[in-house]
Amino acid sequence: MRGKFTIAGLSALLFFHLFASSSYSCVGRLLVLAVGDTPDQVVMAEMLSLLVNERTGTSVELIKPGNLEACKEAVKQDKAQLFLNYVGVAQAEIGDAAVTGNPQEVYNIVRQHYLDSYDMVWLKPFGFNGPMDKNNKVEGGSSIAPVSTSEVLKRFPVLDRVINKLKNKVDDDTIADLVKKSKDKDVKDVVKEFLKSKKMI
Amino acid sequence: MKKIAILLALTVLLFGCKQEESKQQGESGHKISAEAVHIDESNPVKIGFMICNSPKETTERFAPIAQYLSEKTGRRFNFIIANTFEFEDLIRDKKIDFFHGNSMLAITFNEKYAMQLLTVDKRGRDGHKSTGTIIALKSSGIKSYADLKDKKMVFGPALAPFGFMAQYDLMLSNGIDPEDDLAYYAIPWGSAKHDKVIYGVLFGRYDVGAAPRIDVDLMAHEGKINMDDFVIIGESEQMPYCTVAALAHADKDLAAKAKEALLNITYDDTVQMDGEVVKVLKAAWLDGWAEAVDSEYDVMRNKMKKLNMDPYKKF
Repeated sequence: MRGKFTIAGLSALLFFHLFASSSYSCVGRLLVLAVGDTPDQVVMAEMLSLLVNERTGTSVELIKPGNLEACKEAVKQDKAQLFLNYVGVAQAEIGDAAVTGNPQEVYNIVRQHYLDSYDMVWLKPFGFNGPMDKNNKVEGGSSIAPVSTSEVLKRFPVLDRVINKLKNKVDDDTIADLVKKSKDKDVKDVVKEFLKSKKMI
Repeated sequence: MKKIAILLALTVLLFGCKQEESKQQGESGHKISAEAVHIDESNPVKIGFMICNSPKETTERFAPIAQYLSEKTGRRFNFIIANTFEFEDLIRDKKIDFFHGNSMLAITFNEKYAMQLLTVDKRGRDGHKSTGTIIALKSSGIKSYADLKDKKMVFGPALAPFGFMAQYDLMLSNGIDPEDDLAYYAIPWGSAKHDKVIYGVLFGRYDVGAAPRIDVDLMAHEGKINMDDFVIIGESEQMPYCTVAALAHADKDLAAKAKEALLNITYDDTVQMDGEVVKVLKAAWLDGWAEAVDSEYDVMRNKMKKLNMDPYKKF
């Protein structure tokens, strides 16, 4: 009887040790997210990092290679596994072929183009338009979505399922509010509060 | 045995916490003796073992198997341990010749790299097959799939056939979409994920858990949990357990010899490691091996297609 209590006690201790700490463990996976140089990118990158870590146990490292093209290049070279891109920016890369009036159609064309040309997969858009400039204004923006490669999504089988939970969860007003709050508080705390309020972590 | 444990512990302390260095090699980790039989050391092959709970535990369990194969085939089998997600690189780059890991990975590499399935581990109540269970505490009042709606659930690793795939499929087949119907789901951090799933339910952090039957049975047997506290909401059909396979480039005659050696092993078979006699099956927590029958994996292939998982994933 005493032995069983000892085992139960040790188990409880182990359990609380295992779950109480969010530090990264020995047997862990690492995902590198390339972040662009605009305020909305910084907020969404931190949000993704926390969401993925909390929900899948995968650690997420943020790198800042520079502009969007540099982020895309980092993913192409597997120096990063994920970046955040704007449909409008990708549309401009393709040229006239992608010009239609319907945002969903444009997204579909861009998504297919990236899959065919770069083996990259566009996940679901967050819901707001960007990019923001230094004054947090958006001019002629378009929807933003995470982009990865098919190889990465095969290696991380639940990644797309978890990331797509942010689909349409952050609209224009929300991102403006989160960016504003991040000026006075640590952005990590800001996104944590947001995800908790949505019961996503 | 103590000496081996100390050496292994030192190895883990030195290398265990660096992801890049988690692939450990037997030839550098500790000395394996070949006093009793002649083993050709001139042209060694490598067998990669998937890390189950921790590098230390995996090495303790499976290093004797590599030694057993060396002695029975007369060719040195060096062992490497690696995480599930590291195997694709090892296999694509031909850095290993033989594989030991879960049956989902075996199917994936069979499909993508023509890896030949040799034998299946026999362990626990279902022999060379196993199942995945969905568990809850009896006191939670959860009794059916319908009760899973809006509950918090913890899964095992995403590449675990009996800790993720089986349960995800069970839920879909019973009208529960984990993405839409659960309030929340997560996968634990770090090592020993199956244990964490079961403890996560036991201590009330989650309402429901996805646990391999083998781990539930083992923890109950060891007195870590009392099955009277739990209810099993659902259990998957039986599917092949961990699998030994030969890569496409591996010597075919050697693969045949290795397969025969594994199929013929008995509880009394021992190997000498660092001068000590070790019972191979006891060390590995196994009851033996069964021949891998390709058609028995079809049930898993169908589930992986249904769940849009590698190697069948479509974008």
